[in-house]
Amino acid sequence: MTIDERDDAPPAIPEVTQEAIEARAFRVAVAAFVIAVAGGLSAAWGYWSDEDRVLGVGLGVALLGIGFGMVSWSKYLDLDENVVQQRERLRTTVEERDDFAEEIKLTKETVGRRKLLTVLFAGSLASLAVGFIGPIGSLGPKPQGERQRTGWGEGTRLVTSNGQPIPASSQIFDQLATVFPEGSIGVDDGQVVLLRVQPGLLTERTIERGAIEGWVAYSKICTHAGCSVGLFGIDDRKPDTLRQLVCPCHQSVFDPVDSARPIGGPAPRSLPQLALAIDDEGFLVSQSDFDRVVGPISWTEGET
Amino acid sequence: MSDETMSPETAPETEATPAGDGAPEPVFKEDRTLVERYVNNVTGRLGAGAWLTKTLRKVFPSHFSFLWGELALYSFVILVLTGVYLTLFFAGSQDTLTYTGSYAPLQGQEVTSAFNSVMRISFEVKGGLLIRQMHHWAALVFMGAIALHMARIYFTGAYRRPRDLNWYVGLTLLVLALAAGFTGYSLPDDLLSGTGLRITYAIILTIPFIGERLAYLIFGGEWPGTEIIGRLYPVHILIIPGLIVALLALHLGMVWHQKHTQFRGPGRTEDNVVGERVWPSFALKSIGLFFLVAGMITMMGALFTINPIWLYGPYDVGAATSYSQPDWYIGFLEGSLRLMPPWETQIGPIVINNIFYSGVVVSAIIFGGLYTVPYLDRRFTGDRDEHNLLDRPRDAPTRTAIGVACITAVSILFIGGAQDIIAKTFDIAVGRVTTILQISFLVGPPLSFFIARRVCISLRDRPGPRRTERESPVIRTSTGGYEFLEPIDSDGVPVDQRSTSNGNGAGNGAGNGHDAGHVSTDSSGSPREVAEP
Amino acid sequence: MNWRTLGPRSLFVVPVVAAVAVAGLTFFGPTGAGQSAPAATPEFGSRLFDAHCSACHGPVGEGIEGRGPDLRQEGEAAADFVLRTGRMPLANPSAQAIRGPVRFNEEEIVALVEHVGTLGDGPGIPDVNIEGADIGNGANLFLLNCAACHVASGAGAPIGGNRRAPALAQATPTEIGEAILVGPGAMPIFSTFTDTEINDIAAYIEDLNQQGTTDALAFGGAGPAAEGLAAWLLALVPLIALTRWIGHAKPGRNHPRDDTEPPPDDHPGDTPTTAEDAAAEASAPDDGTVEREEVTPG
Repeated sequence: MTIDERDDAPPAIPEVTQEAIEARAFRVAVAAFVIAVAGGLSAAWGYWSDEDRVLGVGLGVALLGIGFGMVSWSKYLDLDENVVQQRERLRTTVEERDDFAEEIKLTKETVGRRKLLTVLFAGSLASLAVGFIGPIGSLGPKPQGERQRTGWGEGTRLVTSNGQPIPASSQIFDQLATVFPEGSIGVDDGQVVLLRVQPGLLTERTIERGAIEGWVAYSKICTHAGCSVGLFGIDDRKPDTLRQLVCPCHQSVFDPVDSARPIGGPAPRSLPQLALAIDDEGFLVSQSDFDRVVGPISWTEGET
Repeated sequence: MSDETMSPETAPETEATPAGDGAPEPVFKEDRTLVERYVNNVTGRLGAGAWLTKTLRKVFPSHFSFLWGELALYSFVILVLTGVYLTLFFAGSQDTLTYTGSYAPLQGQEVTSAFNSVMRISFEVKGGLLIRQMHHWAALVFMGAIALHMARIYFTGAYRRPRDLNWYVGLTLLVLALAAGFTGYSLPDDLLSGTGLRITYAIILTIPFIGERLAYLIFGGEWPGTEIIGRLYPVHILIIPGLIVALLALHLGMVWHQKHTQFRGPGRTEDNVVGERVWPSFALKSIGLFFLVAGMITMMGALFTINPIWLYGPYDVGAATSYSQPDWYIGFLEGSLRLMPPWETQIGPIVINNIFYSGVVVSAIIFGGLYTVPYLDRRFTGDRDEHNLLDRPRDAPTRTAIGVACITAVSILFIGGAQDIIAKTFDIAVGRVTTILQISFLVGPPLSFFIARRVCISLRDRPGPRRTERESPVIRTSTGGYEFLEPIDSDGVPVDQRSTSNGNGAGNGAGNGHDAGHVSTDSSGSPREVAEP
Repeated sequence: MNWRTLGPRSLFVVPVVAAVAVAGLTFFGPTGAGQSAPAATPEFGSRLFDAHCSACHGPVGEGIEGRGPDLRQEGEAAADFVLRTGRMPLANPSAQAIRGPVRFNEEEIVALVEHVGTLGDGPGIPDVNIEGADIGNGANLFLLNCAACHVASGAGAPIGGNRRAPALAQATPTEIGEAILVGPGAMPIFSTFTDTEINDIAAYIEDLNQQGTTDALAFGGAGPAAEGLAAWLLALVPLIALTRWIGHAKPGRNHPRDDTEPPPDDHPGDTPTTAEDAAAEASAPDDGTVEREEVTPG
């Protein structure tokens, strides 16, 4: 039955328009398939002659050509149509329901009669689940406080990524280096951002916590989500001064001259500070490990 | 429907003939074409003749938004095809070795096997970079298509009974797709994927009671460990795709069985489907769309660099790069991490860091909300009926407004995830962008709710001939025809105008002399005649 | 016909516009000019300094509160850097100095640089030579120290306090060496780098520029967010336009037959499998399908 079944039939369409459209769709389809062939061939050529981009574009042209061709083909064949199909009702009939109810009844009378068996069966399945928890536990060791320790300790030298220790005597200020504890370069937890600023800028508590002669070192692991706090903007040239350590992941901002307290962005805690000292040969060393866990905290690690 | 295959008279009849003794009669006496042979030899053995014909004649309503799910489906097909190719080269291991490939700046660096193999795919395998980039672009398109598809389902109310079941399946597919995307992003073990994993580790740590233990279980110990890439690999190439394929089959099977929804229009009722048959028109277009999607993704892969891991280098605990963002679909989490104020809550011995809110709570709210959409709809509208006709967004102003408000909120999170790029592009301080977005997050959703609702109501109540089709009753006559009280077609254009402007009743123009306009001729037209162009 | 008018044709325009917009993110441009060193007299440099610099930096480069910083420890490296990149002279002292048109000719620059060098004992112009440098080491150092602000691709990024790390596409090796030594603007000084390491870094940055890592085809090197935007604008929007073309069917012919199956009161599993069944089933229904069923098999 058709949608247009009614007395006021639509006026007949001029045949010309219809044919013109079909002709155009036909031409488009032909052109598209020809272009697709050309694309496929040029892709093959691109592969043999090591032209990666020709390979890719050729394949793309071939695929797009086929796609355009097929859709145009459908348009050319003038297949658009209005077909009415009735929906099946997705309902359970009364008979079906009764049949099913009978099945349930049967189940209760047979399998369900021995309650003990049912319970034991469920219980044995549960014990199986409990039994398999063990192997899951082998996926990772129990935390043994590794996160509370890093490679830093008393008298550990600060070295750059290629192993050079840092002489404390440098008179250059506003400098930055990424350093590791000597002996564990590139090991996570130990990376530290070492800054040298004008000693007068540092706050008292920063100096108390182990800044020395303008050298100040903070854990490079952001206390927010653990990215490397890599952006150090420092500009002492007046009038527009700036001193910030920024995490490039979520834009947490820390104040490097005031024990890296958070001054912007989502980080709730300051970066742990590494207490510094100078050894006999004039190189920078750490006084001890960090006094707090570095990086993001777990649910047990409240502020002390 | 090609006439050889359909032969509605022969096929079902033969199938229905009891086999009896000896070989059954072949369906086609002379099986010259491939199709005839197929019908004789395959469907004959399966007793699927009736099913086949019925399938080919299944009717799908036409609307461009109904094709967005197909965009996702076809992107997934491309993901599987390109992904299989990549697995032939990828090494899911964090064993370190010295890079000796052809990319000079990284030569001599200690890299993991995983990173090394992706470098090999990108530089040594001819065409490997193309496939890799296609895989990545396809993933981005896949997620976008899913989002569009889901928005269409929501705004037209297609999630209501009986399709609420399929809403849950589709939503689970979205979650799986996100997981697939995230694991895939992490596999190359470059600086960005390492950074992403590190953030994930941090988020897991903050989960009360189980956080630290769970993180150790997943990562095989303290970050970064040497296990995670090897573990994500089977998850990415086997477990998640397997689940996606299974649920996709269920998803499509349910659509097939329940039949597609349709918009209101003349002749369209809750009890029928008006549209195109699968064969040939719908199938030709749909397969054509597959090639178009494939072509578009191939073009993207051929022309545009994506995820240049050689620039990021192998993951290095001390290194960092700006613009370290996840792929766009994880952007809402990135945004919630960036926009969340620095809150830290202490409840007894439990500390809740703000990344627990941004990572776990926000995800739980978003996906929990999405899973409860059908329930909330039933709860607040009291509508438990089956719906096969779709609403236009304006027909349900409150629903639309809620959707718009949620999309506004999530969009602000997405923008927040790229707040540094916004700051750079528009030359505003990052902190100011953050503040603006935080305020917008609070103000934007209610505001957009109000605006969207007003717009819907005024569109719905707009007087004139272009009012919604709902106002245009179609009466089915006793002879099976339809009577139009106020003829309007699916676009809301009065039928008379439509007829003159675009030539309704294309059957006329097809030149078979079949006049669709009259009941008498219509009834006498044989299907064969109509099927022919 | 509807499909030919392609209503959403305008949607095809969007990706093109988007491509231009993305290109706008890319901060591309030619590499800066090389340098030579013609002789200049100290008096000439002094005169230029008085005319163009002393208003903010003071007559002997001691700096003026609220206007310009002390130049006495900045050295030739800093002066050469800011003059050759057009960062100085700067109109607004509270704005960040950014790359601009160079205001002086070669002779004037040399004279000014030498004059600033005489004001104190800051670093001299480094001799950066990227020939034969180890770009592998450069890449390593760049990712560890520079990429955080300047981005792995060299695109540059915003840092705190409304400052931005500039893109590196136009930087010459000498400028890179100078910047590492003097830390212009908000950039810190990287004094731990040796001359060789500076050469390596400069060579790697040159390699990035050769690769075109901040090209439009790489979306300005702005990373996954830009790629995601590109996926939407360049792939998804055209695909939506294509679905509009495909899904926008003409009203189409009205096919008279397919409503015969299944009958309206049918339920699953009970569909007719033969034409006879269908006809038998169809003879019952309420509407006029009977009439049609009779003609169908014929």
